[in-house]
Amino acid sequence: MLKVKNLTKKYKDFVAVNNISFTINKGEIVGLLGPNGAGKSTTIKSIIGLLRIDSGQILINQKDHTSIDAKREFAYIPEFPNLYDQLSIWEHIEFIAKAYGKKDYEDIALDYLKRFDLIDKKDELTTELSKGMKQKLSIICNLVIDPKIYFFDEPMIGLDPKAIKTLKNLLIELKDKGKSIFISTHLLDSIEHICDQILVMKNGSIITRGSLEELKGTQKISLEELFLQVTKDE
Amino acid sequence: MNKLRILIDKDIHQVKNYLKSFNNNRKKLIPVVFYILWFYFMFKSQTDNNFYSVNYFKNFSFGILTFLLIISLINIYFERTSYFNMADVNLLFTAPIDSKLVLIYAIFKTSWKQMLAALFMFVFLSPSLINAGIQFPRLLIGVLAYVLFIFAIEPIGFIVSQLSKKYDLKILLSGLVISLLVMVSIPMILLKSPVEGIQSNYMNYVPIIGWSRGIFMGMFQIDSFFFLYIFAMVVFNVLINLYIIKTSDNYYEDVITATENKEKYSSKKKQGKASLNISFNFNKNKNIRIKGDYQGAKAFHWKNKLKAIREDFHYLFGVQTLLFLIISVAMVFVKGYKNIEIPYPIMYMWATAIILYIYTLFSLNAGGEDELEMHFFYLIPENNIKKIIALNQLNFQRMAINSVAFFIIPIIIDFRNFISYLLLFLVFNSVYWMIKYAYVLVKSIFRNETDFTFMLPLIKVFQLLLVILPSVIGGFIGAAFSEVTKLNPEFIVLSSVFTINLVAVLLILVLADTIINRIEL
Repeated sequence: MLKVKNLTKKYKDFVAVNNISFTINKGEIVGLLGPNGAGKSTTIKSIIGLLRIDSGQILINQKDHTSIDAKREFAYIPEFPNLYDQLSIWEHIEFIAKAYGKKDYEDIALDYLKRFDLIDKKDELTTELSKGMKQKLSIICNLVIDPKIYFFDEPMIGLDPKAIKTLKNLLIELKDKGKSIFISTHLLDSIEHICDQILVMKNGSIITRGSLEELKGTQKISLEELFLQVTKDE
Repeated sequence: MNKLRILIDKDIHQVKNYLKSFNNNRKKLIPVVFYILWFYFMFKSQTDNNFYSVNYFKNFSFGILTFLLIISLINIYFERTSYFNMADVNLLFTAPIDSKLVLIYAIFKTSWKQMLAALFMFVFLSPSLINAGIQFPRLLIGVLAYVLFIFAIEPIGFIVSQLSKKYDLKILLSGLVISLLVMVSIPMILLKSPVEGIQSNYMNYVPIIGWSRGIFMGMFQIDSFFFLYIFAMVVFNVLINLYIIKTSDNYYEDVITATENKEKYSSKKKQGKASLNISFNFNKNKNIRIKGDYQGAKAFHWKNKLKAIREDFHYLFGVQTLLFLIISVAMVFVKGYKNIEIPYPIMYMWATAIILYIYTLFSLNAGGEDELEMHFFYLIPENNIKKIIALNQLNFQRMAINSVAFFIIPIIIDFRNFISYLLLFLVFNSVYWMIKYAYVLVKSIFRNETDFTFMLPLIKVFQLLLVILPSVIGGFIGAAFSEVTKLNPEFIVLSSVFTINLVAVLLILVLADTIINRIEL
């Protein structure tokens, strides 16, 4: 579903992402972990075409990642939900559905609004919403698109525990439907048991990769302990 | 075409919702009413104006076009020139819509907003222009000049932002500014007079500003050059927009930073907190150590010192001090060169008033100290009077030194009026204290953040009153007192203004606890 080959992204002389390669298969959840400044957001933004890559190749479902065809295949949920001030919740959903050419999305959208406790606020402008509510709307907009692969960049920040639980359940449902998910987060325990593969980044490079079992080996430790172990400075 | 319809629909929804929001929150109407009244009075004052000369409009149009270009360059420098907002970045840039369509639509939308601004300005200017003998159809020539100008400078910002990813932004902007300065200086040097240079037709040859001025002046007289300027502007606009469209396949990365900055800036501006903070960062990478023990409230003073050292020559003086000195020297030079008969103290009194006026305007636009918007200012366990003093201590010290730089020249060459300059120095500084403290008072009185945003224009008028009222009261008391005592009115008025300002500042300090405790974040 996603093929990243020798991706390098520089900001002038600073190498933010250094020659990384990985693939995500259909129906796979891949967690992208790393300390602050490791290059996680830059990696995601480069893949979805918000940032220009310096070298490498990125294919989303066999299509060049900046092409319009590729954009139909993915959804992106950013860390900070930036929405239009003068559109209501429902108008955002309508706009996104139109932009992605989705028909008969209303029932699905209403269902998501119920699950994220936003149904009563569906006609309110986003200026009336809290940060957590905006994040929920940002997630719903992208769920309505129903793409083949989702890119989540710290989606749980600002969400209440119930919404985090809902999102976790949704991730599993999406995986069961054959959707691929690439998720970057610092809330390690929230993805510990749902990831098929974990990539750990540091200083722009992938320093460790594999399934949770492979990474832990014979050690009986949590993902958090594993993370601290692999990212600690020599 | 279908995708274009989606973009248009989105914006129609936004406009409709914006209009509906007035019905849901009537307080939003307050600034609208205020602006209408303000516009009416300004329009009325223009109607009552006497005849303006053609040269007045030549200077005016050149001034306003140059000002708009400078604002545009400042926005480019601070990387906040963008056709987009952050919602576009997250929702539109990732959607399967052609990036060129997204850009063309954004350019069209921005230009449409500018057209409205142009019409507004010309409705406002029309009485003066009609008084100057310009009939209605010719007013449209002025609108055309403005529209073509705006259409040209907006894309320049976009192109410079794009180029700055490859080349140094400072070099690009310096190149632009130097070429502009050279072109503008040529007519001034040729005619040996800046004013005649600006008024001459040579100035119309300067690209963008000059061509637009040439079109603008077509309201008064149309000649063959008028059509040449229109041709030049249209060709420039077409070429620059074609260049953008041709090179805009992959521009998303280039506009993200500018869009983020623009959004932060406009959000601050809406709340009256956008500061003009132009810093030079002379010691950007220097490891700065400040000796001494700055505990409690003094930590604010320590932080301000650190910031000042990083941004300027010295923590007590810098670029502004130099500027004050240059202005003072220039005033003395001009007075001698042009044989101006106004006495030095009166000249410096006017200069003081103008400088304070500019400071007041900036303070109205910029809000107050950044610390007042931060929670730690309120949470640091320290006496509020000490905190409020420490917050502005360095500002006051620096302004005292700036004003010494300003008044030292007249004191040297006109020492017999030393007392007048001393009083002007005290008035200057005391009004500056009031400028700084007025915002603290305003924050304390208008506590609700939503109301603060809705009623911003009125609040700013109130802030202005807080700054000038003590001086006006002091002035009246002083004038009345000198009338009775027959003492030197200048001396009495300045002393009274200083005394009342000092009393007002002391009152604010005494009430600091109550004032600070009332502020809500």
